Amino acid sequence: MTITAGTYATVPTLTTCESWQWASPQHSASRRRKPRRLLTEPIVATLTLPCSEVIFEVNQPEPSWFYPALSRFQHLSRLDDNWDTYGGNRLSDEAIYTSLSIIARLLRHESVPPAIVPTSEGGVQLEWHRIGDEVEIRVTPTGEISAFRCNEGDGKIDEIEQVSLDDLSPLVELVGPV
Amino acid sequence: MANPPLPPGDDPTIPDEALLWRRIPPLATWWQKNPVNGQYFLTSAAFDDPNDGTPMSVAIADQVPGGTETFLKGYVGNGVAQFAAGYARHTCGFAVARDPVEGEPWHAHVIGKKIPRLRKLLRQGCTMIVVPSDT
Repeated sequence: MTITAGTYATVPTLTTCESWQWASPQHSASRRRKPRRLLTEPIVATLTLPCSEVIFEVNQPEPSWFYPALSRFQHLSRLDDNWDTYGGNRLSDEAIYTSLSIIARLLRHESVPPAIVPTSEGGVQLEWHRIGDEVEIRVTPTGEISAFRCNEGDGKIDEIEQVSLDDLSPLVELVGPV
Repeated sequence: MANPPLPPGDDPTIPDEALLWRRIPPLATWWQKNPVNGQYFLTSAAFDDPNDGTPMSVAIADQVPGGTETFLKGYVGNGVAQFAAGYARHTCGFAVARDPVEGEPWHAHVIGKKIPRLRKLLRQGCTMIVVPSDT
């Protein structure tokens, strides 16, 4: 089917469309519905953390990594103190929120998600292990961000610290496409 | 070429050949599936110093009577990662020192700041001799 679409003020020109029944507008402008988007209305999801909630608006269809990542963060948010048997702290809401913000900005629809790992201090580490290439992003309990990348092939190691959530461009540059 | 000096506190009575054990908790925290290839891996987050300011804890393997069964008693589902004291010293630049505590005379410390590059090295030098059971 090929459609050369018009605007609401004009009648579309249809070609090769057997079942399309177009009726001339019979309603007044006041009765016309507001424009709607087809299959692209964002859905709203809420992640409930111990001391706060994080609300997402995600365009459909949701990325395949979206719900597993939420589930993983929900699981980690329920770890108790001493979860690591070395006196580790439970994860802070700030660390989870910051990590989710990083994921939301770094990952595309088709991206491979990181492993999401708790740290003893109560933060989060995001890790990608690709052949000969490892990336780690670490978020402290207070939301401070640092990152580390090691390429086994050329032995190159890059590290950045004190990345701000307001400007993730150094992080995007270090991590590269995921 | 001589090895670089180790951080203060190294105990030379612990030979380089001594094997050290690091307990790895269950709950798919530090031992988990790589989304890229589906294989399980040990994260470098397993090699941090604790929050109380003390160095990272390990056990000196040959001083644990009964082996991993004794070491893991009371730690259901935990795994064990193993590396050599010499690897920790000469590849990672850490000191290794005894720190016997009540009920765990085999307890020791790996001393030195656990920066990302060194955590990764420790992970690379490990062998998982007991895999956490909930995975």
